[in-house]
Amino acid sequence: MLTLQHFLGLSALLFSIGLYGVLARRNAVVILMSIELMLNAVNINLVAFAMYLAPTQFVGQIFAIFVICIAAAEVGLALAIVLRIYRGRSSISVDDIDLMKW
Amino acid sequence: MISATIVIPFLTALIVMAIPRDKTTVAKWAAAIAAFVTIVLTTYMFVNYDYQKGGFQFVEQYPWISSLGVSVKLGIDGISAPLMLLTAIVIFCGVFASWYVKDRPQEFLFFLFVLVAGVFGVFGSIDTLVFFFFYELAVIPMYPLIAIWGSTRKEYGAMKLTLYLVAGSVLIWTALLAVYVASGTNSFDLEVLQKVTYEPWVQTVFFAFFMVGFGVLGGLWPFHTWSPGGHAAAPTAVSMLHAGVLMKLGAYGIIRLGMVLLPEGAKFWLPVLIAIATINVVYGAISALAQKDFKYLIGYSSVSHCGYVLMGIGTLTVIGLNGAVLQMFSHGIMTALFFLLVGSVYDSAHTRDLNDFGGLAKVAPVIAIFFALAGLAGVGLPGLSGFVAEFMVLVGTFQTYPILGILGIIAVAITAVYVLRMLAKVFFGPLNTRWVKLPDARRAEVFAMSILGFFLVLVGVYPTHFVRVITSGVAPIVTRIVGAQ
Amino acid sequence: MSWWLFIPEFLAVILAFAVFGLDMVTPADKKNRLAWGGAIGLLVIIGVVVAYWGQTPRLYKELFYLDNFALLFKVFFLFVAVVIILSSLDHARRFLSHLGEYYGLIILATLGMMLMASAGEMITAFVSLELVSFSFYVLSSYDKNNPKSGEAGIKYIIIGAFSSALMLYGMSLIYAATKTTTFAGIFAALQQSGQLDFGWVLGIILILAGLGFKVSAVPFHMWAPDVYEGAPTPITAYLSVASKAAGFILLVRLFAMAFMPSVEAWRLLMAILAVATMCIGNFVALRQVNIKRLLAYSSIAQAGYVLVGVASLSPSSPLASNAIMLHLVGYGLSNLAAFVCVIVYQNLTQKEDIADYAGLSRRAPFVALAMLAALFSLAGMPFFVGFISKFYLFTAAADQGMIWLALVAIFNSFISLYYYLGVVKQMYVRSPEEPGPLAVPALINVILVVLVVLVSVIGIYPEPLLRAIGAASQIFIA
Repeated sequence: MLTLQHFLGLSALLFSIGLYGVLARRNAVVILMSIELMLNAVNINLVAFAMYLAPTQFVGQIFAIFVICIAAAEVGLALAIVLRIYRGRSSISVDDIDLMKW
Repeated sequence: MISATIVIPFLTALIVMAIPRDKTTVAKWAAAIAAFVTIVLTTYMFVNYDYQKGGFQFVEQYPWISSLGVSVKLGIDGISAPLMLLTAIVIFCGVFASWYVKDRPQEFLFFLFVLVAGVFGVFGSIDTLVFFFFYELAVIPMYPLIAIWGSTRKEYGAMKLTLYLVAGSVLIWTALLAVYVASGTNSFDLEVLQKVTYEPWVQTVFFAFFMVGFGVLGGLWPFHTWSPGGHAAAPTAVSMLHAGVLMKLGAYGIIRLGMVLLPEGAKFWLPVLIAIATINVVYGAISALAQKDFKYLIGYSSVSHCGYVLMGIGTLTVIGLNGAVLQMFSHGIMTALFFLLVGSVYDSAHTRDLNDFGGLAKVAPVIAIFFALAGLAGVGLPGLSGFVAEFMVLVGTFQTYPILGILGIIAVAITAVYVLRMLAKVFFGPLNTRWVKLPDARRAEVFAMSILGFFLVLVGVYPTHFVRVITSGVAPIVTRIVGAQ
Repeated sequence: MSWWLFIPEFLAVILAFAVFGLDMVTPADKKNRLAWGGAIGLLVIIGVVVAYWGQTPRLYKELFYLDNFALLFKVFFLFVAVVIILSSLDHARRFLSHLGEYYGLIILATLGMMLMASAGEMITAFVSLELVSFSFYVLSSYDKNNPKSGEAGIKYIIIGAFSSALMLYGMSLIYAATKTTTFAGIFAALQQSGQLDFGWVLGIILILAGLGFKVSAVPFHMWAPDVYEGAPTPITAYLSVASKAAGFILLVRLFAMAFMPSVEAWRLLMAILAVATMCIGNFVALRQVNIKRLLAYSSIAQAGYVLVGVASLSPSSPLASNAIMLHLVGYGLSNLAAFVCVIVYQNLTQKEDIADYAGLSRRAPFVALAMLAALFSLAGMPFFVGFISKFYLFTAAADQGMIWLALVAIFNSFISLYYYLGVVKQMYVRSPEEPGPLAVPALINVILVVLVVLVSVIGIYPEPLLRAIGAASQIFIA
């Protein structure tokens, strides 16, 4: 029997993996993927809460749809900028993006 | 009336900036006329101040920030009346002292008059927020004035001075907020705030804030170090205003905000203040003894003389405080004259090393005469303003702390030594051949010197009205702190 | 249906797409017309927004507030956008390409901020926030010839997306606890339960972290200096003024309207955040050599002052919310004036180091004077709005019994004077490397006059603005 806790556990796990990826990985594309993981953790949360806590409303689901849309747009935009950086200096490692410090 | 004394310098500042850059003489005359108008206004207020009635007079009130309970409330009492007059005199003379400024004279006058508007505002405001507004306004123009038009190590001197003074105002600002909140009155009006009795910890902690915060500007040891260097770097008119008027804001603030709002705190801290003030007096005099630079010497003598002001405050007697306020006036005039003279010499000689001079009395008799006058006032010669003021301060000190009084007397003796030695070195003795062609003071400067000299003598021979007016201001404060004497 | 509440936003959408569309038929050397069209359109929208003033707040099912608070800041954002567009003219022609999209995106960002000011619900808030962020992601990487610009874009978008994820997770936790996303619903739920469980606390902290990125509060400020330095200067100005204000508007609305019942729980957290933000911003600013980075750190510090106000919010007193609004407007105008000076100087000389400003007072006296006024206002000197707004903010803090916070803030204000004076020193005391007056465009002079007059008039007589702010504060008082 699946309970709310299962979903929350999965979502927390996904979120943590994503958080780790953002903080530890150096490849810009992998960082973006990690952010996607975090956003999807949010979506799981929202839908699960909507299902278990307020099954008569659809606020959670609607919120999740908005998040999906915006996440897609965000990645599209981010990849465009990554591409631009790559054309400029043939690297997408965030360690190499270091023209400005402090 | 008071609002006019504040607004006129402001407008003058703007008018001066609007005058075309090649018409500097017009700008200077505009400034001189405006300054003269402030003299007329402040003299009128000072003469017509009803010392039998006391309290704030010529009160005006305009709404300002209603949601904070602030209105622009202006008025003068027995303490601020003479200081307003002092400010007007010094700025009037300051305009003539800067008559020969070559580099961007209009901008110079602009900043100078903004500063003066701030000073008038501080002396004339009853609302504490307005007070603080003008206080900051008076401090800030010092930076461009010194950094642009100054001389010796001007950038360093200007930055140090500004940072010291603004650091002091950090404490003042905090203490103001604390008093505002502790009063629970939702008002910044001094007359409302002073009716509240504050808790003991508020009184002791925040009186210390006021004391140190204003003390920085008042030249309180060990926060005085900005002062000699700042004076040395500043151009003549700025030194005059700064040592003559701005430093008085410090002592004035301690009386006006500290002692009026927090009497218990004052009782607790004033013994400490008088002890430090004695250090000021003695240390300033001894340091002055060791100086070779003209302006540093006067700068340290200012530290010493401002020490008398703080000492007078510390006595917590009517006569001591009276002396303190009178000393503010007297020292303001005297030190303005000093800096004017030094500036005049420096402008033509391009050096301020005391050892370089000698026998100047032969080539520049006017400067020598006024120098002797100012010097003797500094020493406290009877018949000049310094005597009356220092005498009252010392009487007050002897009544309360005789030992410190003795130290004060010793400092007067040291003052005599360095002033007379300076006079001897610079103006008497054999004429140094370098200075045979040294010009005497120029016309505008002589005019300014005469006015300052006149007031030195006036207060010396006829201090009665001054003392009466000041007493009406300080007596209630003393009574409130120590009870009826 | 109260669709007419959206008229200003509809107009902004139409305007933005009109600029995009007309771009295709405008010849390359006439792109300035788009800017003028956009600016005039925004001025018209200001007029429309003002017409709503003073009516009772009308709700669109609590999704969308059109109260005075929202209106005041809509006007502010629109005004800033006009200034930004007009001061971009030379800069854009000189350094950027695809100008139609550039101006259109500025209008879209403004639209996002207008929505943010009105958002009364988490989904609306999130979507409008992302609209603002997306526009800025593109705009900050707009200068194709400058590798720093691309770098600014990638840093901004990665950190921005990351902070959005944090904030969304927080929002989902709040949603779980209240089963609603409207601020009013959250307020009611909080008032009922009274107790804070773990989910609540984590939710509030995550939302605070997400918004902390937007307003560049320490420890979420790392992106700001890099993005500010790399982005085209007008965009930096817009980011530091309007985007930050929009973030704060949302923060204030969220914390004052939704989380207010548990104010005692987050007050200290907010105060600590304020202290950290002020201190780091000011101390790091002390050693900057690039003027844009200096202003970036100074704007971090200014965010700290606003956070002092947020920490002083109280359901019974309008002082803190008044102060926040006054400071946001005052800081915004002052910073805008400073940035317009930076923009014009960069256009004329291609230089942006503080040392390059040597002798500016002799080469362009009025620009130097405007910069002086702006910097003194930022430092909180009287005669300028910065003094009044800081005094107001710190009074609010003291009023909530946090005199220590006021002391720290005042001390920070003192520190900041040092680096502002450093710029003043260059402009007024040092001599220029190459003498000769600079040809400042008349339009820039007009903009600077307007800004300096506003900064000093509000500084001397803030009562009219404060009356409007007082009316806007009504909604926060129970």
